[in-house]
Amino acid sequence: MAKSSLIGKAIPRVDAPGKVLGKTEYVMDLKLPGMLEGRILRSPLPHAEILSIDTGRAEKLPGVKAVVTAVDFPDLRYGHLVEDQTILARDRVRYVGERVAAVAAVDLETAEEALDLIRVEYRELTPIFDPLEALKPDAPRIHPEIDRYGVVFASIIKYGNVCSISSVKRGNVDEGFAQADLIFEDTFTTPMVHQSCTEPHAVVAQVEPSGKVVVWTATPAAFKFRDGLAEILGMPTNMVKVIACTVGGSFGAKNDLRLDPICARLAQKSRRIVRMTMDREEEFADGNPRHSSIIQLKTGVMRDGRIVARWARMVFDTGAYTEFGPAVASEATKQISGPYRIPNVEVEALAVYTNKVSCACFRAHGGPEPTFAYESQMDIIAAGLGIDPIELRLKNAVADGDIAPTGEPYRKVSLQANLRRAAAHVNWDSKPQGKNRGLGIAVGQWHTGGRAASAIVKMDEHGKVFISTGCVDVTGSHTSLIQITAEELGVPLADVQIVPIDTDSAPFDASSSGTRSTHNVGGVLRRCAGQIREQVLTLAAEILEARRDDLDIEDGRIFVKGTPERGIPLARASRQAFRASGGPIVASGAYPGGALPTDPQALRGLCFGTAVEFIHPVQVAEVEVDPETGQVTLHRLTAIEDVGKAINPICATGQIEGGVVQGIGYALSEEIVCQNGVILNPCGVPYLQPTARDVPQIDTVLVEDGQGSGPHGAKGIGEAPIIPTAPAIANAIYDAIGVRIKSLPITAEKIVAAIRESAK
Amino acid sequence: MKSIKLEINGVQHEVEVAPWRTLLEVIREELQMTGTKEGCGLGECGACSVLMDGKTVNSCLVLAAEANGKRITTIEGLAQAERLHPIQQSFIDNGGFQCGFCTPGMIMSTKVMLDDNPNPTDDEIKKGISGNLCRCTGYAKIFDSIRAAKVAMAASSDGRGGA
Repeated sequence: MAKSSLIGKAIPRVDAPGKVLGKTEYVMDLKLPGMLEGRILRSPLPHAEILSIDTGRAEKLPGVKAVVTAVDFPDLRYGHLVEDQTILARDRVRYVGERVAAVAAVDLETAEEALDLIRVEYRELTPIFDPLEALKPDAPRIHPEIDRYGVVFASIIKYGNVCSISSVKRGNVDEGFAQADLIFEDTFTTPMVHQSCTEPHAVVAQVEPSGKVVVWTATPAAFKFRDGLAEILGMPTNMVKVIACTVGGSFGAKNDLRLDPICARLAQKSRRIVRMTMDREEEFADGNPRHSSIIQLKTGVMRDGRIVARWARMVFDTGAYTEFGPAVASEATKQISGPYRIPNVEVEALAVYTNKVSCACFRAHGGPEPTFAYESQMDIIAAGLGIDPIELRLKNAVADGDIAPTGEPYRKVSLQANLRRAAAHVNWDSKPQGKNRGLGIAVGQWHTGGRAASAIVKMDEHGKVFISTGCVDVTGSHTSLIQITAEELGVPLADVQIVPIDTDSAPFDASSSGTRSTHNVGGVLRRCAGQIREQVLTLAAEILEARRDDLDIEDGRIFVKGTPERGIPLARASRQAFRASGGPIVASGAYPGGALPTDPQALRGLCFGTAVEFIHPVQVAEVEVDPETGQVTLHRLTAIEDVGKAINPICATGQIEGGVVQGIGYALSEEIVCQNGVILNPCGVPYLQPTARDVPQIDTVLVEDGQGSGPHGAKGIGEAPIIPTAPAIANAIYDAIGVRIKSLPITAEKIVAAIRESAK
Repeated sequence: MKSIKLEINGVQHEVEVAPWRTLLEVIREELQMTGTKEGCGLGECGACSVLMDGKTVNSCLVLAAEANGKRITTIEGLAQAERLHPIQQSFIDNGGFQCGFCTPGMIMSTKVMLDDNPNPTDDEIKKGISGNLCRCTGYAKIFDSIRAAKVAMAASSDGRGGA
């Protein structure tokens, strides 16, 4: 085994030069010959029947090359959990901004003009904007045909305006509450928030002479896009090729099809290349934001701080179509018990239709919402019992051998150690005594995600290494993957490349989302590289007339251990392979996916899970609050991150800092404002994502205990950092001024109102 | 249509533009210099930041006609031949980017800030790039990059990090 020199090294990302020079091409930078521009006509109404669509005048406008409506697509409903969607509205629209028709024209102005010429006759229906209204028995049905919709998982339970309900039950919650010394009951709310990637959704589509549809798009999930395109277009999957372009931020926003099938159909109909880009208004009207939620939480505790019972009901507003709602609700039922040992649990979560934009995935789906609730309440309990918040958490924290209410086992848990690390880092016991200053702590529980991944590694006749994988780089993972491969093979970093990804040539990967890329694909590459290493060392043993086991590789040179002057360049061994047998030197491998076992007795409805191991971030916020204005100044945010091993510390800490700052926005300022179904951001109401001036000192503490199941002991990183930030800040605000805000975002207005209320 | 003259990265261009065309559209679509990005088109995100007569502008908010006769610098004009500008090198070394979409605008705003004030405080750095949104990095490594660039530029006689 070569000495470990590349693992844990903060080398610059492989995509760095292109990005700082402005030479990296994003989808919107593509300009192909004869390319048309496509635009979408969207619904102005939140809920209406479509009586007729007349595209005649638009089609006759000079410069217009194609117009499409729902009738240009096969009559099918799709969806990755509940099949309730069509790519363009058919018969009915269910939110303002829903796609109704699309046009491809020689330029944007002509396309926009053509949209104005399309006549749509609507009959308005009663809209519902409040998920609690939607749950009432007499509420109008947003999907009257819900019973006929197909489901991807048989366990999904749907009825009325509920597209999914999941629950977890363990022990006997009634007995638990009867036994409790004290019961705490609170209701928390969290807002709909936007991923707000800087790069808008964009796509270019072309039809090859064979009829194959080629799509250039930015997504972490190229294969999911290919399959979805084939389904929606009614084509065989091998007649659709997705070329995975550089992703200008996703955080979940680019996990699902939006423009792509429409662009492809416009390209088919016009027989031209078509480009489509969403403007900022469309990004909000027809994005796929994080669900808003209403969380009722009831917890029974003993005077010594032991939690003995938890009940929760969580309502997630999923908007017009199911999208990822059931997975969010399912995850929330797991999250709401926290990483705490609670013997009696009964919790449920519903994803409910309303006439608003459909919500889907945003970094750690279903994580930050319940965590805000249970970690805020943890401090309410601590104050109620007069116990230190860290003591209370330590008393209830899970440890090795514990079982989650879902039945998932805890192994190699670092939560208690991470709580102590946090306390030590911020000198918890000597809290800042300044007036209106406070410290707040919160934990989180997330997981490394395990879905199928694969890779093919080739060493060419010059000893250069090429990796083919379907794993798109959205986090810097390519750099880490190259480090892992180069380390295993003993070659310089510059000798390893990852080839551009398209679905025809790359082997399958589930998606670069869900805290999994480096963990899943890195493990595959380590094994592939090991196989290639064996092949070249066997060849080198013949050339060097040495025993295979006596050989080692370092920096691209094979040598005899103990007598390093006896050696050859690795390229000579690889060349020999091609001379002797024609090569090739290739290895392939896969990660099968899988998840921790669950207890079916405890679960009802969808249990959506890809967790292969738990991770436990802990964060501490240090704030100062001006009680006159309600202004919160964040001085420091400490993030203890359970990474196992940072393959590349720059990439790892970058992920953490980025997640923490998204968490700060979630805590203090971000909110999609929707009035009568119309989203008022970003035109009119600004979307207040953090700017450089909103960022405090961030102390990142990497916990490198090597206990992860990934390569070199790594665990997943990407999603966890956003989870504990909001409750840490809420708890710090309480510590500073004694006011508890149970509704995100914690704006200055809410603080001032709460101070006035408490003074009454 | 109106004929306008632009000096972009030291090269003279004469283009025919419709009166409603923005500087950003001319740079990206007419001249096909795609290093400058369009994020929001509303002047909120700063991805389209370029230098106009030495000052940062959101090129999506500047009509092309307003830029007539002006000197424009884009991200493509920062490196000299094979040599990266020290700000670019510093963003590489310190991981001051992730998805890279905001990076050209971020680097252009940094350049104006350091040209105006070669030794900004941390607060001045935050203020200097507060018009450029980054959703990936949480800004921490961008601050590191700018601090390092400041040192590199101060250490060089030509202010570009070279001898």
